[in-house]
Amino acid sequence: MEPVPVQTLPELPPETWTEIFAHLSAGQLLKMRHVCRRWRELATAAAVLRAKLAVTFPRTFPVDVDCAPYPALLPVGKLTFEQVPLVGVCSWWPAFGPGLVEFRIRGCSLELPVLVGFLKHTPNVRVLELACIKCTGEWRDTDGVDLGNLENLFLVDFAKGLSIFGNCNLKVLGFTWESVDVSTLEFVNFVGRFQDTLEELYFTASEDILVELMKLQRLKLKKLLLNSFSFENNQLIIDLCRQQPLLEWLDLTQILSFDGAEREGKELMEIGELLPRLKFFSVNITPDTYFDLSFVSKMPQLKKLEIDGISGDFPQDVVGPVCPNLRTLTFSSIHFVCCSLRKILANMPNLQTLTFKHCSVDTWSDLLKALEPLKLLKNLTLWMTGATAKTYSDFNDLTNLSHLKISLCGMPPALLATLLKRCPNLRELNLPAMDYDLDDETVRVIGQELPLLNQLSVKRCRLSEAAERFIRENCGSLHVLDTTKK
Amino acid sequence: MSTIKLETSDGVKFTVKTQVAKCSGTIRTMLEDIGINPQDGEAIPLSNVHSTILQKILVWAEHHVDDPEPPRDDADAAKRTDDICSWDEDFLKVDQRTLFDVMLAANYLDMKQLIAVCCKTVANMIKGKTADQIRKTFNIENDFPPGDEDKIRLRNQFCEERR
Repeated sequence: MEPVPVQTLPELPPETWTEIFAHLSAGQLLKMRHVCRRWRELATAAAVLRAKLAVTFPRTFPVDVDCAPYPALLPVGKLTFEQVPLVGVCSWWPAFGPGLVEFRIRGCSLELPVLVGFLKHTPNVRVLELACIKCTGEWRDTDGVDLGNLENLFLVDFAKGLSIFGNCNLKVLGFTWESVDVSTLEFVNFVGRFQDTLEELYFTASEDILVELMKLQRLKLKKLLLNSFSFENNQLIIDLCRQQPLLEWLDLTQILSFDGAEREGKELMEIGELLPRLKFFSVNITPDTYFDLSFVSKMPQLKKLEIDGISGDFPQDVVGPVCPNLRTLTFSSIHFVCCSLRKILANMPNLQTLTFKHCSVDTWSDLLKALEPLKLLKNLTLWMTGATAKTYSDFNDLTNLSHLKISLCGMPPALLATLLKRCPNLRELNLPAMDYDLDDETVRVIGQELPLLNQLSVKRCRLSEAAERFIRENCGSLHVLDTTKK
Repeated sequence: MSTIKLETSDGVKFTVKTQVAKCSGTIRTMLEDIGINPQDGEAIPLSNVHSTILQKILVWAEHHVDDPEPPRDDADAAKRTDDICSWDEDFLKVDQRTLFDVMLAANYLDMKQLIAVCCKTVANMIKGKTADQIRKTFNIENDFPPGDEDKIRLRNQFCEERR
């Protein structure tokens, strides 16, 4: 592109700049403030841009009445006090608070009247988090607190003065506890207040709570996440699914695991049948000698699936699901025996994003061959995932793959080079924690055989200056080359 | 096929298919709400658009005339910039002056889809660059007094991205 003298570039209206800047991340947006005065104004002028920016106070910075906004704060939409001593409401807060849409207090000690003082000046807050707060004193003078715009409330180990939220129309409630006691009645009454508006609920479940919760007839949830320290009643979970047929998002990983036994396989099948609208499902499965994943076929809308195998083996004769709409799949802590992965991935024609964390396969071919039916696969992440044997045979091109991330996988250097050659449409390659230096062939492939490569990030390993120069000179499409050495 | 005439700021007249011209919200409003009758043979004056730019914009409108209505803006949808179709990508491989002129004209003509794709293109020109590189790219003068930048840097340390 030809550079043109600045005075001849026409001035765009501010709303167009807002639209341009809205595409940038917060980090990039902050950079815009260094460019020139006009861009500095443009980059924080619109509320939609301010909402991207968050302030986090330094951990030991005491906040009290006299505390200066150090350094002078930008107008931002989000603020977090994390492990900050909150002694009093600062004098600049009344002017600053109304701009906030997100306000989070985590791990702070404070007196409840101080908290009330802060909340009196945040009428526009839509997201409020009070997590692990050590508090003393009483709630008082709460009259001036207006939280009418609050939609998302997250309480972690905080269960005081819940009446302050009584008039809110919450859509999202996260209410979990470990070191404070919340009685069944207290919890269910609280949830009951929002049962007409609540769409998402994340909470610490016990059998008593589930039984009482199911009495809230008007509660119609779309998202549900349960956690628990000891919970073994699968049937109660199934009953809850029966009562919440509108669920689109369900995470059971923090509450129980399903093993490969026939009975629990049937339970999963039942959950599948009860929740036809499910788009996201996350579950622990500890497979046995035989495992049937066809419960996933019962969820035709499913777009995203996460399976944690709790370090178990997926056996050879696993029954794979048919998932026409599945876009994103994540496996954690699973060893795929022989061809089991191929069976699982065989009928997911629309899969675009596939992630392996802490997984293993018998041979690299078992993994790479299994990817062949995934014609639309765009993103592949291999994280601490390896093969028992280092041997591999040839495999087909991954024609649509545009983003590849490989981290701590012990992949033989020659295989890495071959794999890259098989990804002709790669745009982003991320090697964040390589445990060996890139060999000459890999460098050559990156430089010469990836015509669309836009971003390359190689961290921790040594990329020689000559290799770096070779890549920069040969890979014309490269925009970003990150070689941070740790 | 009905056509209408458009007249640019430099007095050039274009005969355009009505359907293509209606890609512009401004022209659509003129025709449908204000009731300008294109049969009169009078050209609609576009006093803010130069002929070279209008010509370019008409090429875009001709290509996109049958596009379906874009989905309503989803506030939660990530603001992607890697979904520019290859035709648009080629179309916008122009010098910055032209790109900015197209954006201004698209604003005046109220062509949201064209503005959106131009904004993504400019965002892509900004992404991954330092402030200094951005100044070079857009030929912007650093108008901060010495020392001011350090102050901003200090403030920025307290800001970060959060979800």
